[in-house]
Amino acid sequence: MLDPAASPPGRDDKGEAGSALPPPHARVIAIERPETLDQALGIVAASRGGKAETMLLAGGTDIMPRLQHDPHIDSMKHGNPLLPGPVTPLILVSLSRIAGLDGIVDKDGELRIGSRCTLTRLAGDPLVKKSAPMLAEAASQMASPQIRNRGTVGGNIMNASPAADTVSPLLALEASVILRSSRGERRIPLADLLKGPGQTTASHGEILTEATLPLSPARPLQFFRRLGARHSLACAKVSAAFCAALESGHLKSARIALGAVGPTVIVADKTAALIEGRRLTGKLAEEAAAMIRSEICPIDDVRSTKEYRTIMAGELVREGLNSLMNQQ
Amino acid sequence: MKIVGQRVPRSDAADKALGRTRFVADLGLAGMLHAATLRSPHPRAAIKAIDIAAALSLPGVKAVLMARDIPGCNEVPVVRNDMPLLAADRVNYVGEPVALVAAETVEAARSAVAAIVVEYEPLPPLLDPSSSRETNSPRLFEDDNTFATHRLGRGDPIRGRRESAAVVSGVFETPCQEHAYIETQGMIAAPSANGGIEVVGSMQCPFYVQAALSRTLALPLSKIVVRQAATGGAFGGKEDVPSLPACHAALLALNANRPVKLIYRRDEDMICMSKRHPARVRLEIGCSEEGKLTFIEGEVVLDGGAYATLSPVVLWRSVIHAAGAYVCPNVAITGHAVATNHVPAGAFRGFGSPQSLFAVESLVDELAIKTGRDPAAFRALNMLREGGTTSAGQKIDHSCGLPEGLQRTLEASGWQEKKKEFMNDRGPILRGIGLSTIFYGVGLGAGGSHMARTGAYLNIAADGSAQIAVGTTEIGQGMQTVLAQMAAEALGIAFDRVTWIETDTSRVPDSGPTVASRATTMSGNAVLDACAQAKAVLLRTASGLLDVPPERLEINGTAICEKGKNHSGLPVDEVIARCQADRLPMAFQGFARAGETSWDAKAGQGNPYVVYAYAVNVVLARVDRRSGQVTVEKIWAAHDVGRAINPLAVEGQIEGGVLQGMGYALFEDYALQEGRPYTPDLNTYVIPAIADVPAIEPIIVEAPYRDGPFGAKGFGEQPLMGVAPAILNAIRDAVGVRLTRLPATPERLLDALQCREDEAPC
Repeated sequence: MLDPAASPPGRDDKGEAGSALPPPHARVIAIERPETLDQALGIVAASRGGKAETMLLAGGTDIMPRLQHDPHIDSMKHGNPLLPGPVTPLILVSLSRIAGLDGIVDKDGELRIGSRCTLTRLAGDPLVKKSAPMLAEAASQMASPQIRNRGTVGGNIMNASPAADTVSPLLALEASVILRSSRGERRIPLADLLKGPGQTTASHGEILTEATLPLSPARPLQFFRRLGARHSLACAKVSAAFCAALESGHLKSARIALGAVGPTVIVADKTAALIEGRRLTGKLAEEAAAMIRSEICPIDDVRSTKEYRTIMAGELVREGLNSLMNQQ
Repeated sequence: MKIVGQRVPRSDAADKALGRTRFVADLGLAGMLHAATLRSPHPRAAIKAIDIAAALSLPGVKAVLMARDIPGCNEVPVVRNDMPLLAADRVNYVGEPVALVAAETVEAARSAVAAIVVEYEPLPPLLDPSSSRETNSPRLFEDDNTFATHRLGRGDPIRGRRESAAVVSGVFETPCQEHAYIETQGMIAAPSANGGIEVVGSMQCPFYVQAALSRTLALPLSKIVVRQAATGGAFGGKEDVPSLPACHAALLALNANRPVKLIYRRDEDMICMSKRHPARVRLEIGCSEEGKLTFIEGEVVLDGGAYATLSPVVLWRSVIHAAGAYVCPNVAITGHAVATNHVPAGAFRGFGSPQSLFAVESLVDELAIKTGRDPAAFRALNMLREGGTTSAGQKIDHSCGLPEGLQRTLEASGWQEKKKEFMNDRGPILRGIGLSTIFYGVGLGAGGSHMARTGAYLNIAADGSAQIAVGTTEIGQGMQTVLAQMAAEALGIAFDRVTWIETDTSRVPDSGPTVASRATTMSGNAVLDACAQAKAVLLRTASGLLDVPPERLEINGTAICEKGKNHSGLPVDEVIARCQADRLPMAFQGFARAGETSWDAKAGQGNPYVVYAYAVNVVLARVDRRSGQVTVEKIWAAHDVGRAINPLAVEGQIEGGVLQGMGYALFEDYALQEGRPYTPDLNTYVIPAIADVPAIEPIIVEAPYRDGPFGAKGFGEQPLMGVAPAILNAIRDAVGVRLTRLPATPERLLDALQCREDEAPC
């Protein structure tokens, strides 16, 4: 789910490289439904330099609401000075008919998740539940059943929302992404893909096909926590994903990622370094909570305040570490 | 009683659940155009010029209209008639309509709106209601920016204060609340052959719409027909404001001489339609050594927004309810509804009372705590009972279910035991229990007595089935079901053979609005009046058939029998068939007038309402001190409804109202910044969703109202009204913090908890 507060549609975003969302005055003139990735890439390539822009469509749970915007009505909203402007013709390229993009497999020591895998599938998949339980947990807490049935992990990643719930577990688990283009395939760490609110480093003409999670080192201790304005259907005010292993009472390979406390989902390296190799105690949880608060830079927006996010980021980390002590 | 009092499923329930109901957005007419509205992006500005040439030249555009094209008065009739139908030379709020377009498609209409060029000269807006009445503020309404001032006065509050053993005071702030009805505003208007207009749409008050059409289009009422389409929720948000889209669509339809459909987008609807008045209530209350209330003194300020609309009457109700459901000898409440450059506030379930009840119910709790008393016991000592007198000076001579409601909620919730048990809670999560005891003046009362009448139409067909029509509307509250139950009971016709017809101004006389929890009582009485006429005909005919004088006959179930005789009698069906065969008139017009009310505005005293309904809410909440998150675990909600015509419908109203009240307490805040909405959609404006629903235990109290149909009182609004104070009282009980501002968000509660820790480190 994209957080509009973090990336209002009025931003300097003309749908060029790096954005997975439509430009402000988009009007859909055609919907293409290619059967293969190559066909999809061909459609995108053919449109380059033409009158219309192309936009990849997976579940559509962010794109469709965005396409409903009416510039005249938007001109009345606070902090949303979307002024009337030229209409951008848009061709939606649906990925729905392309086979093989929605699987979850264990391959070569990696968990490979297809970009069109729905949040519902992710939440219930036995492989994910076994090796990345916090990812399944995060997916299960998102939005509502209807939106989870349509929303995809690829969409959640490419929207680059700072509050994206699948992204914090993926980042904590050192996920990489595979991007396909007419020039071939490239693989980059997920952390390198995320650039800012609504912005990625993927170029126009690249299609996210998979997210991959290394299964080693094993990090059996995991938790995911999020706070929203209500129990469902609410973007996170703050979220935290944590994973580590425990060797003779000491934390190993610890990783922490937090959502909605910076321009992208962030990895808290300093806090992870602080707890690495330490015994899991209440005192350590306190220290980690204090450290995390200095490592983030949240803002005030429509969903919460800087102060609250700062305090709660610490609380989530403390609560999470304390819960791991009980898991031991 | 055979059918009244039964848990009959709502007759519209299955169609709505299965998506079969056709709302106005689903309707269409041949040759229909689509409309869109140009609105102000400024909170206050002068209109220098409007250029429609480019818009008119776009393909498919059939009409572009402005204020100068209105044939009648450019004003929406409500109370003060100060709101224009279309802004002429000045705009006063963001979203105010300025121009209209009708085109062959919705897209063409919206494109044409974007092509209209308006030259505005922005003016300094008035955005702070507390400075509205200051002399150097911009003038928006008359010479003091005050839509209305009302007072409630009794005894000598200064003396009462002097004689108090304990006094508490506070300032309470409540936000703008959005109705969030499931269906946005929508209308279809079609020119009729007689030169008039026919309008169908989503609304609460067809007769308001009819009056507005007559005024703005300069047409006689007799040439205007307004029909209510199935309406997807209203909550007050479709009381006065549907006049705007109806008149807009009609203006376009008459101009283009084609039917016109106007449906609001969700964000458009949220930005420009009415809201609950934001309020600031200052209140001070005291009690004697014995714990009896000695005085209640305070001031209510409502932000009415840019135009008066319903503010004068909303304020009136707010002030009358500001001293709560208590007996207090000395009361002085003054209220002002003031103008700002905000979207006009209007009717919303509770109509001004939730704001002031939040204040008094919070302070009554504080006074109990301060004097070492249990908040429930303190209320029992002071609350209204039969024989008691309200702060308005009205004697409650009958039908007061408040004591029973309090007793039953305390028992059901285990109040005493939980209070004790929760005191031992330790750790980060603490439980608390809180309550509120409230009342609600049923019906329009003295503030709207000129409209306090209703009509009904009853037509009994040859096959023994019957149609009923009334002038009030079904808006999801269940009116059509309870009226059919009443008619079935009165006539001896099976419930499923009584059909309610959607409200149409050509079928019944002006029946006033569907507001103030008045449909069950007022339309119920009108239906019963029609049924009484029909029954007289039926008994006379049966008398001939049975050879028994009519006064010795009665309707028992679906038969006409001799009173006191245990025989099967004559089936009503057969009697109806005989009436038809005898060519007797079997259509009847019923009518009902509300009882007398009075109000001395200067003294702030009178008998403002015909009767009161009462409610007690007990809330069990869990507060996480680390996050400030409040979880409402359970609500016990007792409501004195006089007589539950349909207990299932009563419970439905309670459950819905509890949720809407919980949203008001914890989530909802339609914040405006520089007059622009910060949360203009249902993504950012948070209402409770299904996962937030607490356990709700409805408790039905029946203290019959002598003038109500079968003893019923109206109560549709009060399920919301007492929820917020009960939740905040539970928070107070759990963590010792008194929040005086709604909603009680985790951010605010955590802030308050930390402030307290800073003062007294624990």
